[in-house]
Amino acid sequence: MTVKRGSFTVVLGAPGSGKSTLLQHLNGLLLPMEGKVASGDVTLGAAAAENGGLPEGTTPRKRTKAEKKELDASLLKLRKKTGLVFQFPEKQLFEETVLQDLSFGPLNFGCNPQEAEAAARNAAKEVDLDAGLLDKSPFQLSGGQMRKAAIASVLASGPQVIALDEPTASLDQQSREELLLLLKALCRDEGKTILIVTHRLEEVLPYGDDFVVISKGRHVFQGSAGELLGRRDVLEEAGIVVPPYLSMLEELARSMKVPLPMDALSPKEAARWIAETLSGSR
Amino acid sequence: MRSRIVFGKYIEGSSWVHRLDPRAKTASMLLFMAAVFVTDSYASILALLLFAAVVIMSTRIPLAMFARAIKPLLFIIVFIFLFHVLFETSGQSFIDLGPFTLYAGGLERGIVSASRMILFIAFAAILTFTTRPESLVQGLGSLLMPLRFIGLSPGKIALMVGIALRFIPTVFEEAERIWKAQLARGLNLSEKPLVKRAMLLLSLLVPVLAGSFRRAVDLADSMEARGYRLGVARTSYRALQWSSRDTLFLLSFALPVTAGILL
Ligand SMILES: Nc1ncnc2c1ncn2[C@@H]1O[C@H](COP(=O)(O)OP(=O)(O)O)[C@@H](O)[C@H]1O
Ligand SMILES: [Mg+2]
Repeated sequence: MTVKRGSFTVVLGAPGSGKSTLLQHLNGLLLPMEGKVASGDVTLGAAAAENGGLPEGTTPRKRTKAEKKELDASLLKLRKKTGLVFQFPEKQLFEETVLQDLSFGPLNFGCNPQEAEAAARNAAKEVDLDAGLLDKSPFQLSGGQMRKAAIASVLASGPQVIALDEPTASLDQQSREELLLLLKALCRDEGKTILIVTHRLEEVLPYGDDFVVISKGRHVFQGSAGELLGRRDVLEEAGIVVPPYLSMLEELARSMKVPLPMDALSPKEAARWIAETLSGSR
Repeated sequence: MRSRIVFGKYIEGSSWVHRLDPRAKTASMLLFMAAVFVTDSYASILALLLFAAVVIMSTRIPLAMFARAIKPLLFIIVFIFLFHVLFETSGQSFIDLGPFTLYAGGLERGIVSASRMILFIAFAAILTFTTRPESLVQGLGSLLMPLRFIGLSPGKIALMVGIALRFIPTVFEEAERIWKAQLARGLNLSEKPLVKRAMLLLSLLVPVLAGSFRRAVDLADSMEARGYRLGVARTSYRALQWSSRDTLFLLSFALPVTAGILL
């Protein structure tokens, strides 16, 4: 699969289909055993997995010192470019205070302490995390606040690519929409590449440019939202639920014998289409 | 990281060692440890090594697994061996190595001490490899029954040991995921000097420990929520059954102990 620079790409797949595994390849936490991961001038080929790769039982040969150094350098480069928000935010935070946690990335990527703190506070503001929480332990936060802190900790280092593993899972409806709007804004205004994993098709339909479906560890589809909705076989096989309002739309189009508009994607647009169709056909 | 830690793991099997009563195995192991503790000569340690080899063969678990259990402690074993060889001055001297003179007594003590360590680990490994953690804990609880008379609760101790065994891999996973989270945000080891790297590994301890406490509280809550009460008489799903084979096994362990003490 390819992800275009500056795109809003959505990865869909049933639980256990390998979405998290895919994302961990994007910043070299897992190394490929077959195929390769290429990003800018960094390429991690299958050879990278010799030893050092985390998948169990792969230690055919120890890497030489020079090779290891080279790999470490390219990994660092990759990790600076690609920020990864883990599936479970509580698995991502580890420092004593939220502020320290948010500064961890910037410090590692070469900021001085003042710059790092400024970046941290800025990132907290961006995700709308209450500044009063910054001095607390990450584990005193609620699930939703933790999620925001985890996202901020990645934003703080200013990566070009932001990959998020089911970021909306523990958020309420309002925060969920806010988060998606924020991501869309980052993508549109700052040219960031957003890669988001979810199994809620309806929440990303209005935002995504490009949709990737994986099933049982294999990439089975890549295309636009319209193309995806036209491929019910793919959705079905991958176990992705079609948003109920779209099913309703289809049913309506069929019983009224009118063609289904492929661009009616958001609930609002769908509602408008229904209204127009009903008033037009009456 | 996970896959490399074999200590404390149960390995499915159907050998007669697997089928023994956990109480027999635990008690025999204590006897054996005592024997290992009192040995201090080539002859007795050789006898114990042979004895251990027989038990290990009967478990039908590949030797490589035992090697992997010993490997993490290899450094300490080698250290103990060298310490004795280099600094012990009993017996005849036989090699002169500049600042060090090697003595036969030192060599013997070195070999015996290193073998002791290996035997300790090997037997702990036999016990955990061939016994399900639940059975091990159940056996332990039952062996510790006499402690009731001095006011300790065997059930509590067994529960603690059981939880500890269960959570060894979990703690390693926890360390691994914090490590991953740090790597993902640019932690870079290769540029740092060795001392700094060691410090970074050490700094994992605080979050891992904090995580363990959180986990412990959650575990206690979820056990209580499902009706677990401490210190109440419990029945077991698998009742322990002592057979003549177990008596035989225990007796066969009494042999090396007495032999070890007499030799
Ligand atoms: N391409 C693949 N080949 C083999 N195993 C895979 C592959 N992708 C994922 N897996 C395995 O499948 C399991 C679930 O993957 P995970 O990425 O956690 O799924 P998801 O995030 O979609 O729920 C993991 O144990 C992972 O190692
Ligand atoms: Mg996942």
